Amino acid sequence: MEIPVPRRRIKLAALTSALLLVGGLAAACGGSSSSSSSSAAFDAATCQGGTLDVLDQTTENTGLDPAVLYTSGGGAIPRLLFRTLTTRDSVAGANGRTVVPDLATDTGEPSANATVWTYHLKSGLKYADGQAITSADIKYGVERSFSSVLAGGPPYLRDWLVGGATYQGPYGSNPDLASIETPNATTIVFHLRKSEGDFPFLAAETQFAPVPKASDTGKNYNADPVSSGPYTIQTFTKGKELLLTRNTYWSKSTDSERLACPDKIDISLGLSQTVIDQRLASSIGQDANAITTDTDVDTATLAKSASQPALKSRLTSGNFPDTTYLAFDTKTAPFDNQLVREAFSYAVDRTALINAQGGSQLATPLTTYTPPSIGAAYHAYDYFPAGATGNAAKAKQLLAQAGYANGLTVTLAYDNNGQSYVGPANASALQQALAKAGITLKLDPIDDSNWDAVVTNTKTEPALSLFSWGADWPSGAPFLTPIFDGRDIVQGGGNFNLAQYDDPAVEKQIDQINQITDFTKAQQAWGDLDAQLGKLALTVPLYTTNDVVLHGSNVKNTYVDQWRGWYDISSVSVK
Amino acid sequence: MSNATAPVDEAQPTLRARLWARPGGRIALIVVGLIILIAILAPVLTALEGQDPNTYHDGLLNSATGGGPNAPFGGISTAHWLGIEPTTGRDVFARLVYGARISLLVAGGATLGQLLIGLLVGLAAGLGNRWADALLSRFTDLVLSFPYLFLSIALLAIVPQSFPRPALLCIILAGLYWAPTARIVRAETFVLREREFVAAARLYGASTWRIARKEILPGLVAPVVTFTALMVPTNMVAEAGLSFLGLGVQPPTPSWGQMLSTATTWFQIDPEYVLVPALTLLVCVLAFTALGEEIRRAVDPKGLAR
Repeated sequence: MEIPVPRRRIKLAALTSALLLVGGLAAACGGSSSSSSSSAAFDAATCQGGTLDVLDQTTENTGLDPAVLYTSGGGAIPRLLFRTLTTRDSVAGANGRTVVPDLATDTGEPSANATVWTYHLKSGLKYADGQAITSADIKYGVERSFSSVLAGGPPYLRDWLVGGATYQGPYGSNPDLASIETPNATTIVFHLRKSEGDFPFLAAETQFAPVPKASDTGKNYNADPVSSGPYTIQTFTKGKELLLTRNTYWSKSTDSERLACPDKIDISLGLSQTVIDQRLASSIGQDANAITTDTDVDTATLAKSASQPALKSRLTSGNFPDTTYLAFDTKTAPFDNQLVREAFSYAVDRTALINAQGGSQLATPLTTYTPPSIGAAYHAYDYFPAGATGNAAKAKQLLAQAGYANGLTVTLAYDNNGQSYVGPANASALQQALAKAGITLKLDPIDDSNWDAVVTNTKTEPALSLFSWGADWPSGAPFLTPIFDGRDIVQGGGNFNLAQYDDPAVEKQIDQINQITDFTKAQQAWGDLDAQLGKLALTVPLYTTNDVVLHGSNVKNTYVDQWRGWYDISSVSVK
Repeated sequence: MSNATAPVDEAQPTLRARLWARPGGRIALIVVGLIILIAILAPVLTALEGQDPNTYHDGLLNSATGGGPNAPFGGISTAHWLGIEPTTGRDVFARLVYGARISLLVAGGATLGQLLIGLLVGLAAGLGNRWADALLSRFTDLVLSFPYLFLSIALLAIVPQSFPRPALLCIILAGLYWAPTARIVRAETFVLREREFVAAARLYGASTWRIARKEILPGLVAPVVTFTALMVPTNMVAEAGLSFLGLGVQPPTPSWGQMLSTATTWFQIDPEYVLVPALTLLVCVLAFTALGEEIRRAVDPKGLAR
């Protein structure tokens, strides 16, 4: 249940434009020297050595506690420190969306109806302090995430595990969660209260990293967690810098997913997007060995690359499966009328929206709820073909049928943050397109700080709003369930079923799909469900974003993992 | 009554003529007049061009390279006189002339507000007793010491988005920037109230209110008009600054500050788009500043020696 954070066009107004000027000069001076350093090709056997620099916007002010982190597939930097039961496959391309064993010997043995999941640990696993990793440590790591002082992780564990709804974590009077069993030091068994075929994907998140009970310092654990991955923290200044060095007890023989090429990784925190882009683009000095884990290229750099092949060759693109869409409250007039919703579907101008996002390299039009980047759960359909720029005539005809022959005036809620996916640029683009179909869109800007609270509260939810949804893992389940399952209509805050769609037949279908443990079959079923729901025009899917990222000229084996849409820095080399 | 003592009043009927007589004043008057005319005639001018400020032109943009205009020089053509906006294709000329309305409206309204508050506070301090003066003067100092920008940003963020933004901008700018006017008014009032004609009026039994209106106010015209004329461009820049930060009018209403704000990401690829609003703002601010300066020279001939 993760809404993608706005990652594009971050600009802190005047300050940034000054920096942009400085950076632009630097780029102009160093342009000629940067492309000369391409040496030998990448070889995984000899890639070890050197220092990788990471330039990031994140401040990591909340630290690196595996219980608190909310990652998709273990994240980028957390995955260098924490090994989990399963993890994502570290390869380029569509296979990067596959879940593979990490600490465990396989991705989990499910019971017949996928309610009991059993894992066995590999042998020879050690922490950075030389101690052996046991199944009890993994159980303890999961239990910690239930503690109210360590809140912040994904909500699924509390929902899925037997007794999870009432368990308060290991620090209270009732420290043991009985639904996780550890019959011996290398076996761990999870008992779920319902079928969840996607459990292996959840087991890739940092809550499944081992935590040695003796070293747990509660809230202070986030500054210096015990590492199980290839690196360990040397120094950590929140908001400024994180320096990682090798964990000498980590062995490549037990870990096939992390190459861990650089000897040191120096992460600069809290930089602005412009600074990161300019430094990576100019690639001078140590910046040639730099990469980012959270910053897209800005429009200017992207446009410049069209005429600069050397710069273009250092751009990589990938996808985090997400959808930006128009959300209706289908319990409220006029959106309780399917003809009205269909009219909106026909009237939207997706080209204008794509341009507002920075053009076709950064966003792709979407007529389905699940985007193609989700894999097998994507089934192509376009029930209300609007074409590239909208079909106003068809929309008008449907509105007339619905009883609005003289047009319709409605209010659209959007986030007033100019950097948001659901911000003013999109609202203006929708307004002008719908006007052609006789729909007058009044704009209702909601302050960024209140946005989530207002839109996801059933009491304050606007009848029509722009919204964006991203998957916690590449599967149809976390994409469709929170949005279309009537049992997930949360009264008060935190509701993502904005349509307030409630159909018992669909709920039964969802339960049946969750019992399927064959991943491909389950995804096909999710895709069928999406195609079936699409006919009801419960949302108007608009576009899915693409991530385009830049790296320094000396960084090798760079690819964007298709699970998260960012660089997989456990594979890159600077040698 | 005050003719003998205030040379300013002699100049008053001929202010326009005096301005017109000076080449600098003439140019400033013409440019300011043109800007106001353009703002008033915005619908006519855009109709003449055949465009409007809110229509998107997807077909003129190159989506593959980030949504900039296909044509060189920002897409300037006979159909789009000043080119089109990147990522939307909206007509820059139309947005510029409609943006002038917001700029002038906010700058004018804010200046008027500052003038009224400044006059009221300054006169009350200048004519009131010692306590009233001390209280009002310290209050003026307090307002003067506020960090304007941070306070404006905070206020604009707090007020609900549904409140009309141009009116809100006027209120905030007027409420925060009136202190310099008040200080000038108070200082001038102090000088004027010692004059014989004011003493004479007081002896006749005129009320403080009547003295303020009939005796002091005419003498304040010269310094206040000059200062007010110089506040217009300041307010214009302040409005553009707040709009630049995304706190001004809401989309799709065009404003110069907003245009500059979107242009910052484009200045390396589409410099035309940043130059048009920047140069327009420059010309406007220069014209209003020059006008203020010329008014000062026209009403205050002694100042010429400086």
